[in-house]
Amino acid sequence: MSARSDIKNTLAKWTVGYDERSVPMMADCFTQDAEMRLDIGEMKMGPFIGHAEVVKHFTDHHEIQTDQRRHVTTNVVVENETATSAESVSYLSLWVTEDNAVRLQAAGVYRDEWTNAEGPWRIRRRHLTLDVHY
Amino acid sequence: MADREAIENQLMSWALGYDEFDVPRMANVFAQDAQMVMHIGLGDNVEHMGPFIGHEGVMGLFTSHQDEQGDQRRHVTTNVVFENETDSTCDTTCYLTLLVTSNNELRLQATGVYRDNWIVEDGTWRIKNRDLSLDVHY
Repeated sequence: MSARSDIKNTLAKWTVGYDERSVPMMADCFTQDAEMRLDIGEMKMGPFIGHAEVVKHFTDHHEIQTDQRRHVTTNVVVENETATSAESVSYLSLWVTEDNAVRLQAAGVYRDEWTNAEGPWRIRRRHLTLDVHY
Repeated sequence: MADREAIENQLMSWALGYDEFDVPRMANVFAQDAQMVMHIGLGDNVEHMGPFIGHEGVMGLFTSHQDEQGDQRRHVTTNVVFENETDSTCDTTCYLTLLVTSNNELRLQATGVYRDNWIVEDGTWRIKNRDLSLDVHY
């Protein structure tokens, strides 16, 4: 099984975990020493450092988001692949359903650094750039 | 380990079969003893449909809708998660973004989640159970 297949699987697993509010599913996608930052135009968020802090960033948003989100992830590019590391770039189209209507909330780019040092391929660093606010 | 490429191909083949009114292509994706259920809506306001039982029952659901829908649908299928993989069985979860063109206008009709159980039947990966949850009506 190539790294690309496992990386695509984990990218999708995070989205289902977040959108279906399955914290274990989401948490399994990041390494223990994970880091994440988020840019929205001029606004910078993070870095969130360590597994617990990254996951808390997500669960904090669960607390305030009452809508149904779908983080549609496409256009996966896998680069600089070695036996133990890789990088990927992928697109996010964020669809939101609220009050029985669905809207396109945002588009963006995930830039991820991967490692399989803990066994499965997991995200070591995530940098999300959103074109508009989420 | 399941053949992820073959399963992903079947997911896309079903979408193409439905949207292009290619019934044999659609039919090839479901097992003879397939079952399907649908859930439409969110929270306390969910409408349940099915179960549609057997290959004929599942196909009947699709073809009856094709007879009613005068628009052009595109079942954009993404975010495939593979779990519980063996050489002959697998579970997948994936996203649907349903785009509809009607009267020269394109709209996003719905988003949703497919949860599928797969088996190998006659050498081909096919869906044994499909559970579709739509966030809004289709």
